[in-house]
Amino acid sequence: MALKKSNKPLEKSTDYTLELIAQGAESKLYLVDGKIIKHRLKKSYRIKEIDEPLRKHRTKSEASMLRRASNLINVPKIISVTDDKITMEYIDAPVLRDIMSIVSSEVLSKVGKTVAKLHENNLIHGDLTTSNMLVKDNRVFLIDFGLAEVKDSFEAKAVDLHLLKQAIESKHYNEYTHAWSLIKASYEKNYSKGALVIDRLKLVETRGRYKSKSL
Amino acid sequence: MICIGIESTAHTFGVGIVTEDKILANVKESYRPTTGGIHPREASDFLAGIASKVIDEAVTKAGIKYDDIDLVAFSRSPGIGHCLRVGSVAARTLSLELNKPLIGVNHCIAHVEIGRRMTGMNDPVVLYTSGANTQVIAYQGGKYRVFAETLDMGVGNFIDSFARLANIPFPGGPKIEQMALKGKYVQLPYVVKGMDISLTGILTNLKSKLSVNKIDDLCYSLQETVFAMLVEVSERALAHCQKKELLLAGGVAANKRLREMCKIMCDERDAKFDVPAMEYCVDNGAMIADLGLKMHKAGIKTPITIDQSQRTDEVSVLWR
Repeated sequence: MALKKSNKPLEKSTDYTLELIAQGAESKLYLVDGKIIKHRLKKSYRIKEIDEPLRKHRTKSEASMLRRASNLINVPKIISVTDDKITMEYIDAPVLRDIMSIVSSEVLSKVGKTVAKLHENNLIHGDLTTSNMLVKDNRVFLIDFGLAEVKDSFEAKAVDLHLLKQAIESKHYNEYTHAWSLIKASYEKNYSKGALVIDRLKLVETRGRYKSKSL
Repeated sequence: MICIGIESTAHTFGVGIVTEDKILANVKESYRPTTGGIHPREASDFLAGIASKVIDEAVTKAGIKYDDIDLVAFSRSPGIGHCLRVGSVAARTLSLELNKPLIGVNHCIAHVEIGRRMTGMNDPVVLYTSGANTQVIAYQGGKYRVFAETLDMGVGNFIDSFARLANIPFPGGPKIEQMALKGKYVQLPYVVKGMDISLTGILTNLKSKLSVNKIDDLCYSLQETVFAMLVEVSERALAHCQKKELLLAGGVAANKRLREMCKIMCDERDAKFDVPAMEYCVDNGAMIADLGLKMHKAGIKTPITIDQSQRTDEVSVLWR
């Protein structure tokens, strides 16, 4: 999910002053009291019987993926979870997308290592883009586990990597060759079966469907 | 410039005659199987049998003579091979006989382009859902990219398959829509995988419920579930591409509930929503003529052979 910076400064609720900091197709992100609240929005086009259980399921699943990941890599800490909201730690840091051209090689290697650690534990992120990575003090934080799942499959991991590669190639054309080689090397180094996933990635890339589908 | 377009990707033989600013004729005839789905050979036999009649009808309706035609367009991809060949042979014959250029177009893109033409939308995200195809398409970087897609069957095909399982007579879509009005919700799987949707599991689930649940309830629940999935991935595409218009196309666009759900979603995010008249949503010749004309004027030349499986994003959009 691509999160768009919102220009709307303040939204009043009864308890807090909420600052809307980002909005995607599915949810809104608020900054409250130094914490982030991710609210999965009600969709009126869906009937209640579908909408409510779905949002609850996805919120719980995202929280559970985030918890799993927290043992492996840097992610925001979860503070509380309700049926449609996850409250988590606010990490005051730029997204990789905005600093790609000035970021150090060390950080890029850490991106590869972060994905390697996830995949080693069969966690598929599902939306690996430079907008979903925060960089703070040379550390890489991964965010937005809304599409994450547990899957022990080279195919799923290769597709996950493919998304990242495509995201870098299309958004960061100038840094692509350098950045991808560092990320790939670090991925292979930090995941014993990494080379097999890279092999699978080559296969995925020969399929036109994947090639042209994700821009 | 007058362009004649021939559509024959599946069960419809459609002939449209258009100029840059007018649609002079749009006539069609469709094969209807007595039982089951589309049988490729029977469908193509039917199309071959009526082809020249439908072409004649279009020319008469347009009020032109064959000699007035400047360009011949046909749907060359994607579709059922047997059927595509009928249209391509008819188009080649016309082209040779009239000594006019021939151009082959992509059927899915034709749906998008006629939708833009009829609604006046400039840069929409398109939810194109028909029998065989279900895609969310948007223009980016010189091509129509597929942002979401069914992983298995098209929504129209899914609805027809359910109708056959439930002994609902052809055409199933409108009857299911009617019965859904009296239905209540029973739980079905909701299958959105990232940006894509999958339908075969829902069909299997519905099949197992046929002997247990009321048919009205199943019709209601399948519409609510599957259409919500479509609208969800369309919304994701709108957000991702930061576009502000949603266009509905394909035969399933006839469904009022699907239209209503699209409208609600668009209203909530300040986007525009529109659907062209149904004759331009279903398979038709006018859309083939329209795209053929645009491509020809952009200087594009195409092979005269068919391509059953060309993908939407393989075509360079040089006319926009």
